[in-house]
Amino acid sequence: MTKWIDNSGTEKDIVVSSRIRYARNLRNHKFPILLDKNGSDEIYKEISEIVKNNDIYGKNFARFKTSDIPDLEKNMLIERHIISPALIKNQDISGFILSNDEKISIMINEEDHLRLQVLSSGLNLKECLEKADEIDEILDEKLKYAFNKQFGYITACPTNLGTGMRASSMLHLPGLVLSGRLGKLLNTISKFGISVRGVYGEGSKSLGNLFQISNQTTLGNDEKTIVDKVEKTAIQIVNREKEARTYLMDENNIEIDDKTHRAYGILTNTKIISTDEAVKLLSLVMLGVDLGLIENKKKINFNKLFVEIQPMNIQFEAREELNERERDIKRAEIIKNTLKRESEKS
Amino acid sequence: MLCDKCHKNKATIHFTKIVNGKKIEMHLCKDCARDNSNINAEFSMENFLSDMFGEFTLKESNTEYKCSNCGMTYQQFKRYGKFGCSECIDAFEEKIEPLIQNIHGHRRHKGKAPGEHIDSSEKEMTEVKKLRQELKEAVEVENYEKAAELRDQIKTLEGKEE
Repeated sequence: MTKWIDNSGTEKDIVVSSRIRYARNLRNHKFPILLDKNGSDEIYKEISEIVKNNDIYGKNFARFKTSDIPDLEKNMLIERHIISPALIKNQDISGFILSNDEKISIMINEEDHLRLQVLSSGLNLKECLEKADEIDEILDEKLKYAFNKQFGYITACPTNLGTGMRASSMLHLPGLVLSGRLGKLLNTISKFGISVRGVYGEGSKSLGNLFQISNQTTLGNDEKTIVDKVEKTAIQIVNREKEARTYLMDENNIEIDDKTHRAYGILTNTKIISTDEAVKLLSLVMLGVDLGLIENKKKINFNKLFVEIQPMNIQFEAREELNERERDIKRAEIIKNTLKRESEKS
Repeated sequence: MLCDKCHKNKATIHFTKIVNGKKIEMHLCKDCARDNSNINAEFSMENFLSDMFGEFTLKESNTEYKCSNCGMTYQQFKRYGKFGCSECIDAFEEKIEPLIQNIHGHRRHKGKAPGEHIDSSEKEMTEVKKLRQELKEAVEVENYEKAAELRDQIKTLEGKEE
């Protein structure tokens, strides 16, 4: 379950995860938007055979055609950030290859022929880039990548041209949100070519105080420069978050203690709870743990819990389809059990 | 202020459009705005992009650009916001270069290229070496036409490195 979220990496209290994505296309095939079944089968075969026949990676990857996967599992994989909704939209022609540890995935015939993604927990962008380059080179040796000296790697959408790379980090920023400092900071960041979006929730509204930052543009700077910029921005934000937490502890000690413990109280006693409420309260409990207000002797992996309480993951674990009410009951159980194990130990 | 369209209700929605460098302002009431498909359209990257293309290409729309490799026309590209194959970008280059500049703030790729890990400079060097050898041989057999051709090739390859 949610294997890639293994709580490794630096700054993991605040940086939940890092991700590098390369978009690549093949010269000798039409792009997915014009691709027919035969063409897509060829590409799927071509790419998956390369991985399968590779000495180092062959044994550690499994390949799937999207249409062969039950709907429930597909949606669960989206919640775990392993595949994208666009891959499912293209399910007649798409597939994916996934490493056993779920850290590396290659989506085939999503928007582009290839979307190589390397995930890691914590702030780990440089390592992700190294890994992505390693796999990219293995594929490059056997495939004819679409490339043009001026515009770089040719992607289906002009917004991905050049490096075809998106470097992103997911950050947990309750301190900045609670102290009301986030808006101003995000404004400044966007001026430096970094985009920010909420992870859970629609539009600008973010639940659980989780935000993803990534490079806005892909052409004109090389991969290392881009990664460096995203990483430096992440570190800046982490420092601001730490300052905000210190401020909250100094100025609003009792309020924060109260807020985080109330959240803990609800989560350990709830009988039925929605995803939205659970995500909100879990963020506060995490903050309480980070600030040393709430004990976490059992070292609960909260980042993992965030994913495990998403609707599809709950159903997948239950091995049956559940309606919303049934899921909300199950969710309360999962959270309570996880947190209870903690209090029994202490 | 009354609505520009029905001239009855109060205008509550104001927007500005830039067409051919000219600013057009519109003030609409809620009902007329809803009827106006431009506003009503759900925001999506595709819509956004095709609107951007629209702004960039209104000036000249007489010639129809078409990719000879996959058959995608420029009109189709504008609608989808996506290329049909690796050659489309060359077919539409003239039209989309300004757009790319606008999206990325750059016109030229920097960074890795396919086959680079095999060390492209080394590859080019051996290529030059090979051509030099051929040139020497061509001169020896007094095939000056070929020698000139080879010399030009070497020049281009060496020029790349500067």
